[in-house]
Amino acid sequence: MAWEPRSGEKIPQETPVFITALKERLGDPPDLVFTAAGEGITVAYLASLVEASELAGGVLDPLRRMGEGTEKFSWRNLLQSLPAREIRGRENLAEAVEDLLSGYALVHLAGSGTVYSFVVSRPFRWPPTQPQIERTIRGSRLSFPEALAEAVRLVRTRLRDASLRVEGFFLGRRTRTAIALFYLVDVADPGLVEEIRRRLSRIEIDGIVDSGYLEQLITDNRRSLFPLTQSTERPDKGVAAILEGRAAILVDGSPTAILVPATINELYQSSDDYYYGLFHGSFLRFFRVLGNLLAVALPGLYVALLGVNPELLPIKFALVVAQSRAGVALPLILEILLMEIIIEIFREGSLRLPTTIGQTIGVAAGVVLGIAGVEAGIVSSATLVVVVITAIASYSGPNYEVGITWRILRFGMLFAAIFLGLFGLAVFGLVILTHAANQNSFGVSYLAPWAPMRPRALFDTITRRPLAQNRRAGTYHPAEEDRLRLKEREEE
Amino acid sequence: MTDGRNHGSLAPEAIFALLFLALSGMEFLAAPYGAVRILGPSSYWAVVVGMILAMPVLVLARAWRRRFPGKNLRAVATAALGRPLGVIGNLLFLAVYLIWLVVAVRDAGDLVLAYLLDRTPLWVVVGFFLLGMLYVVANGLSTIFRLAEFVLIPALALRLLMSLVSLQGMEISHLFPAFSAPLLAYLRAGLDLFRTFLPLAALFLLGDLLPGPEGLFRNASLATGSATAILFLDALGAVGVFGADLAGELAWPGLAAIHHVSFPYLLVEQLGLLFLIVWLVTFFVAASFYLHLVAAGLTDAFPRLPYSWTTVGLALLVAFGGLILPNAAVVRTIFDGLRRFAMLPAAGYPFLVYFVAVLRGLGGRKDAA
Amino acid sequence: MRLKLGCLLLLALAVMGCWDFEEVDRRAFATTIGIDPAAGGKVRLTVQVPILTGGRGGAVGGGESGFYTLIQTARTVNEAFAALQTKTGRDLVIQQNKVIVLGATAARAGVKSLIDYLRRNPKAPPQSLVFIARGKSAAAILSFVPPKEILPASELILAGQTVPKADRVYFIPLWEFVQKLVHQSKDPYAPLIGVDRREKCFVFSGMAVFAGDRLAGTLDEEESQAFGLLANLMKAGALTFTTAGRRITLRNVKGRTRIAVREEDGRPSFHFKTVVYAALGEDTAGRTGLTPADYRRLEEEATQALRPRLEAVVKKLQNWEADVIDCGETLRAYHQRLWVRVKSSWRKVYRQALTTVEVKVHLARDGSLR
Repeated sequence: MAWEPRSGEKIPQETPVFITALKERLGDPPDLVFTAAGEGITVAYLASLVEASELAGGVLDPLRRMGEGTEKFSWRNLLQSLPAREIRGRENLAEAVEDLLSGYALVHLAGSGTVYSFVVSRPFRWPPTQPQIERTIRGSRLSFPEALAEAVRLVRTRLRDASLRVEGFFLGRRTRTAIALFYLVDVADPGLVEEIRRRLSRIEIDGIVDSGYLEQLITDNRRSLFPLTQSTERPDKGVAAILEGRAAILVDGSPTAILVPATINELYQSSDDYYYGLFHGSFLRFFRVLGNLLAVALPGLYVALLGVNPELLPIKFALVVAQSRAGVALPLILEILLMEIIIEIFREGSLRLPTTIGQTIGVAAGVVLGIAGVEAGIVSSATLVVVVITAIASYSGPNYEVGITWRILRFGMLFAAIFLGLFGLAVFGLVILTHAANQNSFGVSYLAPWAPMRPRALFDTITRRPLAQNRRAGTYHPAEEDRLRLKEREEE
Repeated sequence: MTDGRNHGSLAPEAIFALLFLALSGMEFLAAPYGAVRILGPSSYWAVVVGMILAMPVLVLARAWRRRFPGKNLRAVATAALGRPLGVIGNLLFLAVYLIWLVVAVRDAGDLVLAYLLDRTPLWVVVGFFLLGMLYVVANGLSTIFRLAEFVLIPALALRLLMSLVSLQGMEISHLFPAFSAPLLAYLRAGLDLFRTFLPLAALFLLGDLLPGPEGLFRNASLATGSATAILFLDALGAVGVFGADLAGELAWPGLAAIHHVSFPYLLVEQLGLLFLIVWLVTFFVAASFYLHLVAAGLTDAFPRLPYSWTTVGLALLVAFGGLILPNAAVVRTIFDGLRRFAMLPAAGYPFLVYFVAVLRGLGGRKDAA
Repeated sequence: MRLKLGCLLLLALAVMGCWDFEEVDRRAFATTIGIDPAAGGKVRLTVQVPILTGGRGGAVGGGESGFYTLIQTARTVNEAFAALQTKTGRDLVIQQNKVIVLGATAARAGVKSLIDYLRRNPKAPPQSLVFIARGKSAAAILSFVPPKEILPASELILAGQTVPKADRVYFIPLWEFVQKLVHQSKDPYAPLIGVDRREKCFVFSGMAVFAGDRLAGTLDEEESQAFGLLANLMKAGALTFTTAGRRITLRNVKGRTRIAVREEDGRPSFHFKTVVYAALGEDTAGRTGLTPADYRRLEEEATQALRPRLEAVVKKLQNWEADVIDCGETLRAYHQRLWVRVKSSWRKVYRQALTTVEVKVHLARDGSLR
């Protein structure tokens, strides 16, 4: 069990053994630093967690100064020479490791079975930033910092588990961009980690400018329309993914983490689904999925129903819509294509506008243009309604990339509907589905847990998995399945 | 890892999904038609009789999986009957599927033209359909299975909903007398409906992809049972709503039974057409499965054929065959012919192969162990 | 390979035209169809098409009437429909047809030949309601412009969906009409529709019953009520009868009839057992303080009043050989052997069969008076 301290193991007295033991426990992360501070004295700390000046001024310098003297090292002298601060003596390796993960520096004296931990943890150094895309009502307001060291610190403070593995890579011949890979060694599928390492090591490029580069370089299928990796700017989401047995990849200079493996289902899950109760979360998620369905299918459906299969509409509805179309100058196809294109341009345009002006322009463009367009007989009000619903619905999913995918596919649906109506929609929809079914993300089917079907994991799709489900879903082949044991249950 | 190949055997759920879709999707919304002609009002029993007749195929599939684990029909047939006979038998077996596919695609095209489109040429509908199918089969069986699993739950739910909805306006007296024909007629009608269960014979072609005998049997039986339940409801709806006399006159009684339903004020008024879409989705998956089976069977028999081009060739053949059929009456006649003559041999061939193999002492415990 | 397939797909899309694409405002929805006979064995097809005014987003209609009618005489219904395309600039489609009105003359000559087009065409909605034009041609009904109602078809549909209308007029959709037409042991019925010129409205009055595919006769409103009770169609009726100088109306009447078949000398006889559930709606004597005995008396009086009406209607239907009350169906479904014997001469058997009627009235409540 990962959360239970492994008791019993004493702290090795030999310095090399101590170093090896620590490295072993933590999987030799790149931020684990050992510094010799005089003869037989080793200071171990996680660089991402400690304040360098604190460490130097509070621990390393006094130790070194002592070393310059002639006195024999003993814990008594040692402790006396250090400035007073919170100090703990540890005799158990597991406890020492825990201290290490909490931002302490361990001071080890060769020949002694005790280490002393000095708190030297440091505050966050970057101004906290809010997530821009994946905003939630509830939950953390932090997004990943751009500096990798800070990001590593963030993940380490959120997940103080000795099983958390942080592996470092440098990619890009010219940029030498630092990249960190996070996973839980006793949960994640070893094959997955191996595969990620393989793919990262395969990359020969002059520069990695953003995690977006990396995303495309490690994806299973570069020609797929779907994002086969999940990007997130939310640390809580990253931590949740790591807990699921997935891996997170962070790139220095990029505030966006990459989570693998990704499934289409995963892209519709917002982190706050899990922060609300079961039914609240399921309710929100249901409408999110519905919204995305609308975003991809509504214009096509509109054209199919109005242009090819109007028999499906109730007569009054058909007549009202026909009425609203009667004086419109443009044919239906051109009208809806034009509106869709304009909306896409609006989206792109408003992205560059300063936020303050952006809202005003948005209102002006939306309301004034809409009314004027209808008044002038360029577009019908029904089309306007459909296009606006589609535009808003396309933002209902938390993942931006897959939103773009649907926006592209929407045009495909539109054309299929124009040519063959509902039949065209059905077949084209199946072709899209086939494309998705063809995709794998790091050995996991993109349509999992629907296909291959994992009945237990199916709860966590349109509805939300109850937190009290005590096992991990099998989607990502976790090495360890147990997740939760409620205390009351244990006592029973 | 990235090539989408099939990794070992399939999940039992996948077998359930695909068999269910094939059983309920390859059936042409015409289920009660032939039975009504023979049995009159009590034709819904024919579905049950058909299922009972199909049970031996399931039992054989289990026995096959036990005796010849990982071996498909071709391998056992060539071993048991000798190479020439085995190859010919297999080609005939595949031919039944191919002909079925040809007629089915044509009939689906006709159905789409009749209800959804009007002026679109048939070749466009068939072509669009086949192109979609080619895309599905291009990546082999795993994609088809994934597709089947993905659409299973919505298809199952919608299909059941539609079957229940089609009971609107049913008159109980139409279902009586509950035993309107001599016993032998039930057998005849059951045989007539037996073709609905033809997808079960595909189990013999999957070979090493199948899960273990028990999981296979359980899931295949479950799929057969649930598909039968839905077909039974369809038949009940068609006969109960229209009465045997009218049901026997309709080209697609199953569809008509849903098409007649009216939910005023609903956004989509003609529910039958939506149902047609649901059915088309299941048919699409099932037909892709058939296309793959035939292509895989051919490449298995003739290893020098490349799979991808075989599928393209078969698709062209299906398109050509489907378009060359002159009219709806011919399609119906072929359907009737297939129903009466081709289905029993298609299911009987695996039996024959199995018994010959057993007689010759092939396979058996030591292989299984 | 996948790329190739993708190209093929794109190619296929590129060469496709939009054969079936026709904008909704470029279509003329035939919402009501009237069929009449014309000289020389031809048919005269009348079609109502809603008018789309140019106003953007405005309500339907806006002019004097919301629709216009097109009339065409041709040899078949389909030919007439096709010929009507020449009379409208838009694409005349049948998919949204809601109402079919058959002229009484046409119905008398046999409807099977007239509705084949509507049955055969998968686009013709099976839900459209069937009406028989009372005394006039269907064309006369369809060309009537009701002043208030914007679109007759939608008004007729609404009427068909209104439960209290199932009192003396019983609406029937096309599929059910056809079902009864085709079914050997059943005969179809349809409501009569007329026009009241003075009140300027449509009138649904009475029912037309068929023997086979020919219109056999019409039932007036009171007879229709009896028919509704016998055929289990009455859902919320209002029955009025006179007893001892008082006039009494029962409201919310639901009827349930079971047919018991007895065999005498190889011929069936039918016993109708009608149970009526109702509430007291009006009593012209204005009596209050009803006791259980009063209830019993009321029920008895209602029974006495209803039975002759039902008997008369059954006799009438028998004389017309119109089996719209499921005698044959009961025989077929539950007395198979007897049915097989009389099947070939069923109409004659039905006409001569002995029929008895038993009525039982259940009065449940009497409103806000004691």
